[in-house]
Amino acid sequence: MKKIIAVMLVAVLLAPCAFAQDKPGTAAAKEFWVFKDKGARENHFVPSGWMGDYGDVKLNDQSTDNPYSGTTCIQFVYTAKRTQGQGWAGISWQNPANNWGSKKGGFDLTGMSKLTFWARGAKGGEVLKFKVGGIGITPKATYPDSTEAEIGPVELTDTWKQYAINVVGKDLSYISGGFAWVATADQNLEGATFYLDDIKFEVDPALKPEGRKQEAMPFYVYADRSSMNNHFIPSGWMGDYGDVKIDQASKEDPYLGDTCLRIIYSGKATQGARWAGMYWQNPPNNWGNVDKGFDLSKAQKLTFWARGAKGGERIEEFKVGGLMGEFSDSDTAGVGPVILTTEWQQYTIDLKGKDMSYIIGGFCWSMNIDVNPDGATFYLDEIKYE
Amino acid sequence: MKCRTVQLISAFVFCQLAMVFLPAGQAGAGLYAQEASPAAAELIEKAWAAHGKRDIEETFRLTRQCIDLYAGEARRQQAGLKGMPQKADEIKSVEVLNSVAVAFFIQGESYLRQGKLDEARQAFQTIIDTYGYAQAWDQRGWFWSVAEVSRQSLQKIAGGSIDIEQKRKVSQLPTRIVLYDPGKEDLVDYAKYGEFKDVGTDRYRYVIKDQEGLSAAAGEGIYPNTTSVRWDPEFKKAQKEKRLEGDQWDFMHSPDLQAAFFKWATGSEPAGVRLFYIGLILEKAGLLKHALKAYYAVVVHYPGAYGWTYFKSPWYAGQAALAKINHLLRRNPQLGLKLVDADIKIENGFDYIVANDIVIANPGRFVKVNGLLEKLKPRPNKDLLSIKKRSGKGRVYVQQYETGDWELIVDGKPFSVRAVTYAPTRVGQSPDEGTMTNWMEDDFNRNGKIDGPYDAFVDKNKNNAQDADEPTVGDFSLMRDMGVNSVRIYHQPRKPNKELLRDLYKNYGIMTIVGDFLGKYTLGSGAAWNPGTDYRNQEHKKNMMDSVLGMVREYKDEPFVLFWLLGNENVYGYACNADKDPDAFFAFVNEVARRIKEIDPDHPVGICSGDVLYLDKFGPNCPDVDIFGANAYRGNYGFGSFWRQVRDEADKPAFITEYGCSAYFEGKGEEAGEEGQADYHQGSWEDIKNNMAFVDGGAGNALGGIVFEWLDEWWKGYEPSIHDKKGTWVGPFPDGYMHEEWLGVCAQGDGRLSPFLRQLRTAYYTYKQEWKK
Repeated sequence: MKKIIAVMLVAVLLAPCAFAQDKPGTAAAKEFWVFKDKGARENHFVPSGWMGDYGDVKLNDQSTDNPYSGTTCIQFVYTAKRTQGQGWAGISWQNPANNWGSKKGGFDLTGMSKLTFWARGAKGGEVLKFKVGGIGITPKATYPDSTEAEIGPVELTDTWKQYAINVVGKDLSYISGGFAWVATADQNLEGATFYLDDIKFEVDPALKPEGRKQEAMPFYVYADRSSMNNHFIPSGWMGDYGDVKIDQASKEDPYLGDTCLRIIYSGKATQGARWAGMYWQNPPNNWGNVDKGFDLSKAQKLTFWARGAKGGERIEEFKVGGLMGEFSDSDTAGVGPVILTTEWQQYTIDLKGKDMSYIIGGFCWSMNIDVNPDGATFYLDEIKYE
Repeated sequence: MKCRTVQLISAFVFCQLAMVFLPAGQAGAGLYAQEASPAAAELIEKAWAAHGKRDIEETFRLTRQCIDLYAGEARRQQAGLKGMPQKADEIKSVEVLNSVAVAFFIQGESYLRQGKLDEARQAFQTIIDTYGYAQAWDQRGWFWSVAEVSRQSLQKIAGGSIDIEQKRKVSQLPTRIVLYDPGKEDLVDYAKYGEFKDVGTDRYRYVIKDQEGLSAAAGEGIYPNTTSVRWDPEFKKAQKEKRLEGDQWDFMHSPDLQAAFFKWATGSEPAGVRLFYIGLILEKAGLLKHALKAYYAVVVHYPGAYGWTYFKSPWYAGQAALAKINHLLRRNPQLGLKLVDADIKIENGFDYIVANDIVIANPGRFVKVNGLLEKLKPRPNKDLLSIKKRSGKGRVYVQQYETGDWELIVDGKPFSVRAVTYAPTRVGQSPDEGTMTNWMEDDFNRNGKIDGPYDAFVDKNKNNAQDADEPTVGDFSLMRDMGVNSVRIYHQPRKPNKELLRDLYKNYGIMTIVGDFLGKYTLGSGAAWNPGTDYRNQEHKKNMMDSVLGMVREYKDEPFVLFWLLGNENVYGYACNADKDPDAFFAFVNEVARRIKEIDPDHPVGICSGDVLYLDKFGPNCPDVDIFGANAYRGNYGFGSFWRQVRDEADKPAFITEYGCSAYFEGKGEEAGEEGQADYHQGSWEDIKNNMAFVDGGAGNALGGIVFEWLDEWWKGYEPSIHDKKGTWVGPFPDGYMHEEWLGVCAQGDGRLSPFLRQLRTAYYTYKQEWKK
């Protein structure tokens, strides 16, 4: 911890200097370093923003274990032990240190085209997301970043590989969160050890703005617990949320793969609503306030497999889309009510003729106490757009 | 709206009939904990009575005792709750909490009367701060939040009086709906886009084969077309203007029809319920064809969809949609359509449980009709039909023809019940304050004539004065002119004025349906309020039987008697346990009916039930009851499947013992209120008429109905001297609320010339036109 504080102090001292010296928007500035090497005067941000299960993360910012360039690189060890009970962890490079948008410290990076970095896993197969900006946007802070961009989930290899986050066309006028990574316990069951080096913004005149791409099919909501193909998170708890438990890694007779989803609805009306439901969202807890919809225009249907623990469980509706907000889902479709059997059955939501060009709420179910007076336990698997 | 009932509960105050409801057995539980102490609810019952008598000392003795004994337990119950209990049994389970909160409430009201505003404020604030989840039962049929009403009382203290307007929480910009995508077909040809499977069975479903085609045919907002509305430029505009912010239920009565449509079309309610309300909004906007599509989509895709009424009973959207379709097509013959063979039955649908429902659906089909030819269609010649059943030997009886149709016969002629509830309460009087006098005896102007019946006049120019050209005519005359042929009177707790009823019949041709409460509110049973009338208790049964038979002996030879009526919504419970043991209740009703007929074979016997609750138990238990009657407030489209359900479950003739609508329309003028009320009544009567004997397409068993009510009663909302506009409960009324003090087909003007002045509302003339044909 002392090391981190030391790093932060150095960065804080250096940052104003760097801010004053660099004018990234000018023709002269071709690159702008986030992190080059420990102690390098070109470093503009500090890895001070520890998020989620911060107790699961160890940082060595002068690892000499095969750096990509120079004498050191940064090693991270993520144990996936869920020390803070979050199921995920991440670290943001900030300026100044520990700035979540309450202090002025963003750089004007106008003119930069991409952020590049080098990464490798200790074993290969480590799954992470990488991000630029995004500090203080939601909820809105005093000094929020002017934009955000991300790539991932990315599966690392055991050899150095360069990755890039395209920021062409983005408003880079104020960036205090230069870079971040996020890992989830579900996608890294055994944890992850990985290395980063040479993180910087670059100018690339040939790079074009990244449009919202139409996702290829099949496009999974849920494949298996640790699958990097899972694109939505079951974060949208509704109604009597206290009545619902979800196990995303149930091994009770999954339909396919190692795991399935087990959902227990107690029907106790804990919040007094007498119904409950859950949305799979991107990113988590996005109720239409974050512009992160997927373009699923190629989808003709959503299929999923479901079964009940006893049979006779009644789900009022399974649906896709339908979230309304500043960034609303472009459409909605559903099936229901559905009476489950003890055998796995495949259900289909017809998407033909639907506008699936922007989907935040990838999947949803809802049920109530009136037709499930004793609650219900049911299983879901292989939820995917096709 | 239990008019006759409310008059006799003179001891209870605010929300006039407010009582804490104590289930059977719970009183015992309370006594067990405090062996020598009275139950909390018992203390409250007595405290209300003392407050009604303005016995301040006794009021405070009882409420203090309740608080001293039970405040600790009440706080524990409050702490154990995470939200306002929703279902009746949940509310009852925190009875002590409810009682203690009401004890503070009574104290607050008493302080108010005494002008001790600081003390009153403190009592109400205590409820809000400490007992926020307490609820109390209003005998008119609902629970009320003690904390919420306390807030209103605080408002009264702050402002001098209470006049609660509904808050306008959502956009109030008046708009109309212009559809961006009305769909390619006015009437969707569902067979083209999918397949109807297992029609008329509990396995019915419509399987969509061509979703794109169906969406294109249906158009914006109609299932499965969820796309067009999102592409509608006006939708994006409304979003940008933030006109879609707010709860979708608040949009139901917003003049911003466009926003309401968008809100519901993109809402998150279950699809069937959502479609029904989309239909309502489209109907209100005058887009009848699109509204029909929405309603029919409910029938096709979601026939078993259900929601919940304000009173926590299930409401079936599919059945309501069918009723709406029939209502719309009936009202708009220019559409030239008729829906035939459509039917949705909900087996086990007559209780509070939806988990046991079995939905049997047939979406039917639309056929083209020629209105003129329909009218010319010959009706069966009754003279050629044989009589299948006849009940009664005297001048009044019901009979069923071989076709299954029923008629009520009086003096050898068919008689349709065109009745009104008559209770001309003087402004300023209230049963809650013990100030209500007997209208059957009142003679405030001391001219030797009873006021309402004989001394009322019509304030034609609505200047709240009796001008030279506004002669005294009396209500009886006005009722006769309207076409009224009967009224309903209970013989408890005040003995009716026989001479008055004789005159009503002799000189005005208006007969009387004579009723006995049969243990409701413990009337006639001799039971204590808690646990209330027990229909298995021999003593209670004997008392009730004596009461009924006494009534029959007293009036059976009177020429004004139309028929006997047993009960008043007893199936809802409340100081009687018919709701807990409906089989015992109905078995007793039948026993009473049988005994009545032993004494009086000349008049039929009817029951006054609560909508169709436990109708499935009425049929098998009540073979000797001749007529099924029920209070029902369903909307301007009438009573939907009510008639058919009575026919199918009991094969009896039926009539509506109470129906009505307020003439107040929040946010709109007097004219809109009257129009809304008249429209509701017209739709209701048309539905009754269309289900009378020999009407093509109807159930053939409707005998008529009793309009609720003749004259506005000002004591029902809050202040008996003020014409309160408060919406007491949410329901299918023009502005979405029941305004209890505005139910009359006659108004009392500014109240100064009550009980004499009458301002005849549009609904009066609607009936005059219908009933005097």
